[in-house]
Amino acid sequence: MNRDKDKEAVDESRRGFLRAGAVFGSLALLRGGAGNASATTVRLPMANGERPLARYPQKRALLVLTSRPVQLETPMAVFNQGVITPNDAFFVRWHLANVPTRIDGHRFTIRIHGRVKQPLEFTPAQLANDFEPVELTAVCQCSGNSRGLFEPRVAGGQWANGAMGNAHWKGVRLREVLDKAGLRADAVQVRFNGAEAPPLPQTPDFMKSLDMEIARSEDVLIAYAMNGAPLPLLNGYPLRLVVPGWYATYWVKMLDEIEVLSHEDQNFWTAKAYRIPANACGCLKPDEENVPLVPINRMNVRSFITNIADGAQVPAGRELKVRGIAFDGGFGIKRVLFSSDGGRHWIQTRLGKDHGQYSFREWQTHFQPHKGRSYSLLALAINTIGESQRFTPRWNPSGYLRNVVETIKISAV
Amino acid sequence: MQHTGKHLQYRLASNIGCLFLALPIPAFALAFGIVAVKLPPAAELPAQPPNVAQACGICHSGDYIATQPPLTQQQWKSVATAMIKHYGCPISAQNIPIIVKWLVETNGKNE
Repeated sequence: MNRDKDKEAVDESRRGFLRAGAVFGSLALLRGGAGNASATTVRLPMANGERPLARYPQKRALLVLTSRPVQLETPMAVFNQGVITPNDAFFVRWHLANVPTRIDGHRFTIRIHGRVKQPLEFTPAQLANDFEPVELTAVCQCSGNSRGLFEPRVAGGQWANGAMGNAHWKGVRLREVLDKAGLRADAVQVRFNGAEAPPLPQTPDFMKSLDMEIARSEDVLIAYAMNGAPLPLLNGYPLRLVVPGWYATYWVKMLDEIEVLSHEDQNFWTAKAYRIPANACGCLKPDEENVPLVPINRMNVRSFITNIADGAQVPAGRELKVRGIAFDGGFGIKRVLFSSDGGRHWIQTRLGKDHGQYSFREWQTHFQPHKGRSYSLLALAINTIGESQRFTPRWNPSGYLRNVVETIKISAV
Repeated sequence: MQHTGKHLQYRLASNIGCLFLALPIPAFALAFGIVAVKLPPAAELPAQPPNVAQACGICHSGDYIATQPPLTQQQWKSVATAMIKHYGCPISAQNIPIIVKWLVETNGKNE
């Protein structure tokens, strides 16, 4: 393990924040760490929020949520360093303990079968050569991103806000591959399966399904490149489904099987897991039961301040630059508002370059803090169809859909 | 992919490493080589697990337990029950209280 590199990552994180106090990543140099040879632990703002900061293959030092299967969270400082999340900083989330650790990209095949006229099989190179390449920039965000910030707390992967990333994807349109195989008249859903496997035969294999209308939409890709390079193994090398605007649960990694179904998928991971309350809010009260559920789908609107940490002390009497990112489920960000007084007054921020409606959108503004005063900084994003963030956090038992307006408290000295 | 047995067994190596058997790729060319990685060891189950808790380790490293918020006995029971009902964890019903007791002692809270 490269200690110097880790130290650099920590220093970089520190520089990224203005004298960080308590955090979304206050960095405490601690010994040990659960099962990892890491000397550094990050403390996320939640009970049991200690996370080793460790380097995994093809990755810089990231926050280790779990080690088998691997789940790694991106430190928030990364999102302040550019609109694109580098491959080696991109979060990692697997479901099943048997994730292949060796992939031969020459021999790897993806099989298209089920309710098609002609079952087909492609290697990644064949896909890349036989179909028109398509490129787009899109946010990939875990359904449970920010679950650890739910109150009351819920069981599940305890992420802070770093189970997300924005990459430039290159691949081929799923619908062109489906059309090459030829859909039968009774085809209604498409099911995706990757090479990760359960260690027990009775454990449901991880598969996800999309309705045909979504599967056939123009921007759904089988991606073979991420930010101009093959995908890191832990992000699904060599092929990954990209469903722009939708939560990452559908972005099946190491994609090796596409099955066209003539019925609604009954597999556990689509029929029982990753479901949200079937109301406009996607929420319920902690003791509410027997609420109808639907599969999680399109992402909601979010924004983050990325250059100032919660609890920071900032210099008084001069202009403080405030910057961050915003994104939504594929309609595009229309505006981002900023408040330095807890939401009483708002100003419009300046949006950065538009990388397409599925991408992070950078924004920035500034204000002048006065000596001895405290400020509650808020960012509020609104998308092109008028959807905005919530002021009160929603709650659901699975810890999905968080998009509350986050508060960063600072004081000026 | 269906359950494929031993050849996909997670290889837990003692050191972190990443081995590229393919030639280095200049910029991005359509080269899909062999990528093999060695992952760091998985975190062990916390706090002297009872024998029957070894079943938890079939699918999960210990940090799955340690990173949860402190949960009540009822919440840990729901977790254990779900592992059996939905994921086929090989624990008999009579051993659930043993597992739950250990989980509550390790990372529990009062009702």
